[in-house]
Amino acid sequence: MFPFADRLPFKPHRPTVPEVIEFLTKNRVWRSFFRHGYPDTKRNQALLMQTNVFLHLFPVKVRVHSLKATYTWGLGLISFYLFLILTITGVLLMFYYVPAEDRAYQNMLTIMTSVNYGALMRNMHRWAAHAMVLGVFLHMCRVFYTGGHKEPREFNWAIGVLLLFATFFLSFTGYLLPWDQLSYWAVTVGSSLGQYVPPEEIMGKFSILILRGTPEVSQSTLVRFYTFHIVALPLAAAVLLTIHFWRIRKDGGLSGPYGKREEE
Amino acid sequence: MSTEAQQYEGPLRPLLIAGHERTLERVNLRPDDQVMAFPYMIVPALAVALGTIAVMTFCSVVANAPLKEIANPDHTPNPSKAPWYFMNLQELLLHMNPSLSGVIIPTNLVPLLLMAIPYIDRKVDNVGHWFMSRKGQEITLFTTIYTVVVGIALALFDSYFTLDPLRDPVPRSGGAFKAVLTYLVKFEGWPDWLTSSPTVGGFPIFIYNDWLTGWVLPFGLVMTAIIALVLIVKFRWKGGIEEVMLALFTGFAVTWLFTTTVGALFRGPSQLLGWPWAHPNGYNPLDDLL
Ligand code: HEM
Repeated sequence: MFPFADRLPFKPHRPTVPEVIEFLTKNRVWRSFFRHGYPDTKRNQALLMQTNVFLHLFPVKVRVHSLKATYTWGLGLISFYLFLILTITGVLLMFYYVPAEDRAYQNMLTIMTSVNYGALMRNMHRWAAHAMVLGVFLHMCRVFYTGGHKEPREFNWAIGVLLLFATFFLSFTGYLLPWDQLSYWAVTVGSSLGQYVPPEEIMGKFSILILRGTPEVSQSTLVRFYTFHIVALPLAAAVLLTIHFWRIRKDGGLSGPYGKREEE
Repeated sequence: MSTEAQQYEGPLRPLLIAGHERTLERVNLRPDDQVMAFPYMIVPALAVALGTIAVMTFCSVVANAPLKEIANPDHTPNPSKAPWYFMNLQELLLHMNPSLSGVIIPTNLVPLLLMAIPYIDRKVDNVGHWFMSRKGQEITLFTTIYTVVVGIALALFDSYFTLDPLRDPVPRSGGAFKAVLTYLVKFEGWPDWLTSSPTVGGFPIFIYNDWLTGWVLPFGLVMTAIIALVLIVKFRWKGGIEEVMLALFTGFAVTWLFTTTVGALFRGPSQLLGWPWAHPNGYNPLDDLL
């Protein structure tokens, strides 16, 4: 089985799984990454939650009730995952997309037809965007109908309202980028609302210019929407999300039926 | 099996309690008992992540994102529609002054009132119970039906009465009120000063005052429906602030969904109402949807 085995200075053998695991984890490199053992004891489970910067947003222990699938329906979590999917597919789309009037549409065709996995990335970006708008709206309804917005979570509810609007605007600014008839006219209709900002005589033209850069939807509009779509709004959303998650923890975890009840 | 696993009620429960159901029946669960976040929260959360990725991948494999012809500023499609989640706005625009429906309501009133809810309703007894209580469930159901009925009535009112159905059938903000007022003014028996007021194109000039037909009347009509709802909740269910807020939010959420649906599917060329499958010129509303 092992050629030249007799000439080796040690006795070779086929390693067992525990030996492989031990080899991989009982060394200084692994130990420098993870400062705890496999999380099958309470101590290690607690250490896992506390030593990982992402998991540290969560508490070490959570209430049983907040884990019920029919309480949250996972909607906040799903919205967050969709946001991550959008970030990753969005970065990949940026490799092939230039926000120029005379190139954007051509870029879209290229992405859909000749870039490897380009169509998959664009489809996922589009469908996840729609799903996120819906998911966030449903999440808001879930929170309201279970009373999750009430004291002491008023502030987090307000952060949520801002997130709802950030989601709308992320989706709306992205809508223009393909530069096809659908996006051009949808954004023309949407941004034309700017002319009605009261007092209309003073603010109307001005708001349109702020939104579009020019009186009509044009190259300037495309650059504006692109910049908001890829930098300003995602950054704002990320900051708001950080506050949102941190606040859930500081407000004592998810809401639940822990108080007295009017009727039973 | 650890006592923790017994208390755990999440989606992994069937796995964890396999064979232990009888023992569990004897354990008295309290909703505020705590379990370790790992694995009871982290593992389901990762499962949801995989599920989300799987569903999105599946959708993206079976359906391509739409891409129409290249943008052409010289060719306005009829109708031009906003993205679906803004079609509620576009719908609202048909019924009142655009400053009110396009700017003040969506960018000021809606976010501020939403944020104000928990500061106004400070009763926390029913937190954690879906729709609060039996009473809450009834109120939610009632408000849903009420809002849809009122919504249908208002949409039909605005498309039925137009200033001049033959020459100007296109719905526009306050148009229905102008039409009704015109009719009333032409009605016999009004005092002379009203019917003989200055006219434009045959219609008394005050009807063209947008302050009346674009702001006061449509907003007043909606407010009347809202106040009626509050009174019903107060008297039919002896509702307090908690129940009133429940009804108001439900009214808002249902209006959002209702106007989105009407705007997205039931508005065809020139924003005229029609069945989604029978719009003129073979217009298919699904083409503009996603
Ligand atoms: C980008 C959008 C959003 C994301 C990713 C998000 C994420 C989350 C997550 C993961 C949770 C934990 C519980 C759950 O999954 O339901 C949560 C809870 C919560 N969210 Fe959001 N959320 C978003 C938008 C909103 C909006 C629009 C509102 C309300 C207007 C809101 C209000 C709240 C509140 C009050 C809680 C605490 C609920 C409780 O304690 O029961 N969030 N959010």
